[in-house]
Amino acid sequence: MTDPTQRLDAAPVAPGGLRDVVRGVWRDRNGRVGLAVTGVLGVVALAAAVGLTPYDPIAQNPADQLVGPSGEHWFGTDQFGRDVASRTFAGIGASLRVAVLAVALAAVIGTVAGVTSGYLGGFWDQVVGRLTDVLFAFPAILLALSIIAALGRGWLNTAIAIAIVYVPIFVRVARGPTLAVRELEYVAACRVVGFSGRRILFRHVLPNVSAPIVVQVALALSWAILTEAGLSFLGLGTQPPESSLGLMVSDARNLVTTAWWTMAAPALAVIIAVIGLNLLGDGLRSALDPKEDRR
Amino acid sequence: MNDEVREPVLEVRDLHTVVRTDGHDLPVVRGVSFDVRAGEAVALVGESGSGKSLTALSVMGLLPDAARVVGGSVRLGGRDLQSLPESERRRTRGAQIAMVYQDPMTSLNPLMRVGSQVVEALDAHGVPRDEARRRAVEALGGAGLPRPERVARRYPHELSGGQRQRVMIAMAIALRPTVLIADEPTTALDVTIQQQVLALVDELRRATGLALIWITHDLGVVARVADRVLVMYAGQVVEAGPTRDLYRAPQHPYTAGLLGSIPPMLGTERPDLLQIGGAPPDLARRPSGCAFHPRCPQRVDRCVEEEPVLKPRGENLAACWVPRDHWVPAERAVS
Repeated sequence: MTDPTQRLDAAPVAPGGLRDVVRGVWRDRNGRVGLAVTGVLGVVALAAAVGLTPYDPIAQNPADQLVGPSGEHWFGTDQFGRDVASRTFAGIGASLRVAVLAVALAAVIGTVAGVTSGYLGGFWDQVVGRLTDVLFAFPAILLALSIIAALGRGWLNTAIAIAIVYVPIFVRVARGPTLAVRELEYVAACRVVGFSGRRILFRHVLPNVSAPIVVQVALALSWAILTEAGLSFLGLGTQPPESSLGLMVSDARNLVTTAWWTMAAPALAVIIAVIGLNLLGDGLRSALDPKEDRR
Repeated sequence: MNDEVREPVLEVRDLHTVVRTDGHDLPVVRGVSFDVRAGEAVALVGESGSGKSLTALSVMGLLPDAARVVGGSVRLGGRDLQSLPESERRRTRGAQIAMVYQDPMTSLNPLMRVGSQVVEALDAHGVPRDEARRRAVEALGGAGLPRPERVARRYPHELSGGQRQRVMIAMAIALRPTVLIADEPTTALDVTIQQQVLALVDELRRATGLALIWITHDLGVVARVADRVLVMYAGQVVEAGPTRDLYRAPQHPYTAGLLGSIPPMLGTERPDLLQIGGAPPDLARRPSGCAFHPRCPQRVDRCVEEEPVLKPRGENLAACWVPRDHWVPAERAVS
């Protein structure tokens, strides 16, 4: 009947809004670091999106080619005299745009499919389950590559490809706890008071399975940033003249022996983003998991 | 207790429900009939597996997937519920026929303030939000929760079992239904809280003219709340009658056995507890004749061959071949 690993009924997730969740993450050491790093990256990305970077990321300056890191240019300049720090900030913005869009798509589609299939069961559950299996059968990167091959290059298609890869993961994460919550008495109680299926599903089941989904969002974001970087590095993702972290690493390949900073900055940004989001995921897990001790 | 004859609010006629197991339809409710009038309390009594809860779920139209009603009718205020489309039937639930049940610990959404949950119930039946909020607080107060506007802001885990059961009752009565089904709502509670909940439901029934169906295996509870009792065994009603008559002179050996197994109060003169030997029958291998015959101390040959039907016996209706004055004294059980 109910999966014993999904015993959400024993001690329900502590109720509370966003504020309580943030407080819970902050109490966790990993979570605190993750939250700070993610917060800083988010601010940087937003600033870059509205043009707030130390220099113009695409303005070429032939007088200052391949200058090393200094107070003036924190991460030096590239072969066109462009400020690497500014370009990295813009790249973070571009990478996050793809990652956030992809994960948002995957989370919404996957959660709706997973919760409905778990709650309704029957034929719909079979359909969703088989489609999920098919998508799981392909290695993630290979699947993303073939989707881009079919759709064509560009950041939007990259986002769609990453979303498709991640949908089945959200389906699983949402479906399991739904099976457990569905059997709980308060869901039966909802039927007794005459609630419609949709009301039960979205007002009473979904909030009670949301904890693992939220954790998955953080982890999915980190994977999406990595994948976007990889695809852009291969020239399939974000296209020049737009910038992204993967594209910058790719451009710096020939320069790395003479000007290491051109690669160091974007590579470091990817690493920091991935570590930060993973730590945030850890923090969310311990903040939302009732079994974990809070102090 | 009810002096004049009123129209029954709920009429159940010859209800048959089956559960599908291993490709076979197992009858779990076999021809149950009863009426409940406004302000009247009827108790459904029986052991686990006697079909009392499935009878209630059949009436609600909330049977589990494997079970279904195969015969009989359920009429609520003159309307045949069975013939209603599911969307309309859903609207009767909560609004006209409500249910409170066993486990108050898990019956509330842990992530929602209890007030919001009552509001939600009203909202689902089209009560405007403002009015719903007012009526929710009113219902919480009506369920005997002190300072209802404060309780409304609590989450379920901040309330005790008794308080939660009161919230469930508030949710059930907020829509002012005509029928309330209480499926062992006091089983999971402390004895003192049990008494309070019993008193509350009793009071609500008298105040609002609720028709009450109380499902339990506890005959002590029945004596306190019910006007009439239906005793169920293996999916059938084996005895029915006014509470007092049924307690004073049970006409079915099973009822007599149940009554004999109530621990006596201190100082009363029943020396030993009696027990009913054996276990309720496996529904897949129902005994021939009277389903109770393998456990019955009064068994005669006819019981094995022929199934008895409900017939007037004394003040009650009973399904038994052996009249009470032919009974042999029941054997004493080890206590």
